[in-house]
Amino acid sequence: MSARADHHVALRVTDLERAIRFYEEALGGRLVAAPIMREGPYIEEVFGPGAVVRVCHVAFAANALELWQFLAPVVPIPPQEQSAVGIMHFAVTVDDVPATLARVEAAGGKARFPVKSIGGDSPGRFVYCEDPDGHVFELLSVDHPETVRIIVAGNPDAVVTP
Amino acid sequence: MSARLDHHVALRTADIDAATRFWTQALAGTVATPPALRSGGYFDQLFGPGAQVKISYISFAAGAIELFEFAEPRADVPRSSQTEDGMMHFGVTVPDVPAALARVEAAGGRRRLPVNRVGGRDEAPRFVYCEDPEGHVFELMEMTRDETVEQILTTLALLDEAEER
Repeated sequence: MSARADHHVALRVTDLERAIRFYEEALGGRLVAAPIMREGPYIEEVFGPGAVVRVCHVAFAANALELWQFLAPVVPIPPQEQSAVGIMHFAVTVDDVPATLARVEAAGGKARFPVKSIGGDSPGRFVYCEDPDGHVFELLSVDHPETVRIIVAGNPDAVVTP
Repeated sequence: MSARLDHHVALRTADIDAATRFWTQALAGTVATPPALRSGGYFDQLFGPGAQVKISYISFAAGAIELFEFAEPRADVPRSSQTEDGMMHFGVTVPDVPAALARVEAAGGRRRLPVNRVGGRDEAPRFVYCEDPEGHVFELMEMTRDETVEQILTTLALLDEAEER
């Protein structure tokens, strides 16, 4: 059976309260587990000796963010250069990309480039954004199956051959 | 309206064919679009002038992974460090964690920790942090997101009770 890859995405942030506010205001997220401090043997097994973290969960219409603020060790959040990082971005389906982008900007985020059409000329819109910590997320006006249909329609190479 | 965060998670890989094999074998993903080389047009704006990248999409029962192998610019894929990365990991719901872990290991991945139960309670669902062959971290859990939140709240209530005694 195929797994469900929609449990959560984990982001490291510098200020947990600021990050919660951003994802509530920008994307309509809902705080479902409030920030708690975690330390001790299990946390040290996961994150290394001396690790102290605050963690919370913000839920959406589908999927969730797990937000982590490390009190120790304290390491700056690295820039999210898409061609240099390992996990590049996460992607979000919204009703209206320009309207959501306006909310992202009002909440302290920004677009990395102007809104575009998927495949260059389809009705599907997308844009890469950054949250206040620089984490990259993609807004799309179509869901994943529709995105795949658009890509396949425009690219003979993208047709799956059995 | 709340947004849907289940469109995809994007991973950069050094070998898109090997990564496509891993995610289809380990978590029974389906290749929705096979690796195809893309450049020009808006890819220069997405990834910088001259970018050339192979992209594939792997679909799951819910959510998807978008795999990127950059032909240009080239940079090693860094092994994930949970205390240093920005994006730490992503979570995956499976019916049986040890069975899913066995498939992950057979496909060339590994676990970072022993399988644990939430809050260390005997009856709680199991979870484990894993790595794919390139070191991207993902978490296997035999519970949904909502069930996980319930488990966390139960764990915290038990901790509070223990403190009061």
